[in-house]
This record gives sequence, structure tokens and C-alpha cells, in this order.
Amino acid sequence: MEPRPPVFALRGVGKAFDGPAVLSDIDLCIRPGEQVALVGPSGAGKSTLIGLLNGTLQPTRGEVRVLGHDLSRLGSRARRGVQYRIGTIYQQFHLIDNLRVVHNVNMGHLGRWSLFKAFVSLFWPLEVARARHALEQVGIADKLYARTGHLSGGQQQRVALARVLAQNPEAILADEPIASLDPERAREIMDLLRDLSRRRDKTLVASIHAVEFATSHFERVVGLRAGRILFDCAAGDVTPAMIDALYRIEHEADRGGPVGAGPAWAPQ
Amino acid sequence: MPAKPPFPWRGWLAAFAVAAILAWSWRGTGFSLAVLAQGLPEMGEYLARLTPSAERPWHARYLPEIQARLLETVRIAFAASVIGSALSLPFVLVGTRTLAPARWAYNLGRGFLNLLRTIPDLVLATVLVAALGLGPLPGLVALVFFTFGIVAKLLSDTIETVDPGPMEAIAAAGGTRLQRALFAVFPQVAPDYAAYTLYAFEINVRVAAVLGLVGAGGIGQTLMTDIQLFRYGRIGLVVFSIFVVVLVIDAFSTWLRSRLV
Repeated sequence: MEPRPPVFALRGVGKAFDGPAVLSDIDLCIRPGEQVALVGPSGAGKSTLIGLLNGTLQPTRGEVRVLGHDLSRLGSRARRGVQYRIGTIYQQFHLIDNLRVVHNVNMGHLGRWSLFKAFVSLFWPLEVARARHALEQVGIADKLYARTGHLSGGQQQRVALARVLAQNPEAILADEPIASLDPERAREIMDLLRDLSRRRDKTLVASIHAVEFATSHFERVVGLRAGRILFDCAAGDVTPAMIDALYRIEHEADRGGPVGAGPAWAPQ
Repeated sequence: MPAKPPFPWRGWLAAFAVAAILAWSWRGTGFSLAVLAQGLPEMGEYLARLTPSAERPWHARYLPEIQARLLETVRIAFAASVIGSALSLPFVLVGTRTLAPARWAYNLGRGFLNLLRTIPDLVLATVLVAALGLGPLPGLVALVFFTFGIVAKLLSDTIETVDPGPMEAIAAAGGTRLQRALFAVFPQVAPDYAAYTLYAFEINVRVAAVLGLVGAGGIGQTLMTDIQLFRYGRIGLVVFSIFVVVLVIDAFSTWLRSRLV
């Protein structure tokens, strides 16, 4: 079988906002079907990296290729076409609280829908069967017409996951998907994320704080520290010493290093 | 040595400045308590003339005209509120930092809005009466501008404080700018938008009641004629009717708004 091209390929990537670099010298290649955990302390650049992968951010140095395309070289229509093939879920869910669940799931179709179709759907929900099917897979089919803001945190993250299933992308990105959830809900969401992406042969890249999930739910772990890749290896090869090195509070090595605080919008 | 708290220069300076400007304004208006005291009996007399009495009764035959003119006032206010706030909806696509396609478009939109809001509504109505002729139409158009200004301003400010998360989610999944506005922004601000429209309606009813003073239709026109002809009985009835209608609409609209947001 001919090997498929990488889903994400980063070469010498750096990213700075108005200040010191948040990411530097990132070389990373993620192949189809891989399950990759991004770990590292707050401010290490995990969210920024996710933003580069889904095209909401552009690198200040180097090249990011998503599904073979350099997004910075594409026109806006072509870029959106590639972005539609990448789904993202977030720590804060990013749902519209005062809309019903079905509309939040249908947000996943916007990359494909015309403005007119989107408008009609807000008043008369379209593709309801597909939305219901997506909700069934995350275990909350009965919430189709519930008001999203009334759901619990765990249920809202399930809605966000259903939105990505409706979008049906080739890769799923998850930016701290369980950081706002209690431990039991966190495990459920991680299980769902792993099982759904495996069953549908989707690439999964998730940034997580909880290192135990990184080694139990993923096949590959990338450790980020101060905007650089500290290690990149199979989950089975991660040692406690590597984790210590990742999270150790530095007193000398970091001083004058490339990274101060994370970007202003990084999740807390 | 214990540190002394710094003397609050700025607070005292501001207070002094306000007091000085107040004194200057006061002198400019020629206001004095003596004049006010002298005028009080006359004001009482005028109010007494407005109340119904044997020589100045509130005739029931005045009512059809008052009713028709009041209804015209409410219709001007309602139509202007709906049209004005409908126009402000597309405006936010350039008047809001988070939705504008470019910085220059945003500056242009905000500049236009600020310019529009500097024109007093009665001045605008007067100009429109000159252009469109006497009647409710210039009043309606003037209040459409006024409503647009107020709702567009409040709505744009609200949109800029809205949770940007859903917008980011739509952008990340390949949605367009207009889809972001439609799906992520408008649903979030819909209750505020309705509340602002009602708020504009409350103001519009009051403004529409005096639009007739410049010939722009509504109950103000009746009031103007009656004042010029010294028909005190009718003036009293008209003022009382305006009072009742404004009170009822205000109360209803305020109640409706409290249920929205």
C-alpha cells in the first residue's frame, strides 16, 4: 500500500506574538491515524501549536503543512477547504449556550454549508438525522433539542465532540479537552476521544495536562517545554525522568530563555 | 518613618473644576431661587388651567382627534424602532472590531455612526420636514436615523464583549466571516438586541410625541395648535393622554425587557 502523506508536517517552525517567541525550532511530522499527546507545563506553547495545526494561527518562521498544503500560501477559500478537514475541540467547549444542542452540532457543517443554508438551519434545523447520529455516538442522543447552556460540563464537551463528528474531519485536534472537567468526566471524554478516532481511523492530536492519560490513551507523546520540543517518542518509552525534566521548575536554564509567559489567550 | 499617604491632588482638582464650571453654567442661565419662587404661583395657575373645570371642560368630542394623533405617534415610534434596529443589524458587520473585514472599514463605520449621533433628532426632523413636507413621514425617517444610531452603537459595544470562543471554533473549521456572525455572534446577542430595540421604542414614543412641534406628525401637532390658540382645556387633555400612553408603553416595555436579559 502506498504510504499516505503526513497530516501535519512542521519544519523549523517558530511563532511569536508581540514579544518573545512562544514556539521555536519545531520539527514535527504526524502521520494519518496517529494518536499524539502534547504534554508540557502551562505556557509551553501547546495551545499555540494547536492553533498552527488548524490554521487559526500562522507561523512567523518555518513552514506548516496541513494535509500537504501550506495554509499561508492558499487563498481564503482554499484555506477554509483544508480547515474544514481538521476538527478541533477546546477546553472551554466554545459552544453557543443559548442555542439548542442540534444547532451547536450543526456548526460542524459550516465549512460545507452556504450562508443561506446556515441561516435557514438556525430557524428550521437541517440534517437533524446526522446530528442525532453524532449525538448517539457520544451517548447523549436524548439531548438533541436541549438548551446547550443547561447541560453539565461533561455533556457540553460531548456536544463539542458531536460537532466534530458531524464535521467528519480527517484529523481531530483537542486543546486541553478535559482541563475543565472532574476526574470521572475527564476519563469518559478521553475514552470517547480515543475510541472514536481509532474506530474511524482519524488522526488525533491532543494537548493535555494529565500525563497519565498521555501514556495510557495515546501511542506517541510529544513533550513541549518553553516553546521547544523536549522529547518526542512512543508512549511506552516515556520515563518518569523525562516527565520530571518537562515539569521541573527551572531557576537557571530558563532565565533569559526564548519564552516568557504564554500568549495572552492561552487557557489557564 | 511611616510613609504618609500621598495627597489626592487629582481628586481635589477635579472637584474644584466641576464646581467652577457649575458656577459658570449657573450664571449663564440666569437661574436664581428668587425667580423660581416668583414663578411658582404662575406655574400653579397654569397647571390649574390645564385641569378640567366648568369653564374649561375636557369635552369628549376632542377625543377622536387626540386618539387618532396619539395612534399616529405610536405608529411612528414603532415603525421607526423596527426599521432602525433592522438596519443596525448589517451595520455591525463593519461597526464591530471582531466582525469588520479590515481595520479601515471598522474606523469608517464607527466614524459614520459617531457623526450620525451628533445630529439632534429635532434638528434632523426639521430638516426632513423641509425636504419631505409636513406630516408623519419626516418624523418617521428622523426616528429611523435616531434608532439606528442608538441600537447600532449599543449592539456593536455588546458584540465586542461577547465570548469569542465559538467564533474561533467556526473559523478553525473553515467557516466564513458571515457564518461566524450568523452562528456565533447573533444568537449570543439576540436577547440584548431585542432589549435595545424596546429601549429605543420607549424613547421614540416620547420623542414622537414632540415631533409635531416641528411639523413632523403625531400628537405634538395637535398640542402645538392648541398652545398657539390658548385652548387650555384641550391642552390639559392632550398632555394627560400623552402621560397615560407613555406610562403604559414604558411599563410594558420595561417589563418585557426585564424578561429578556
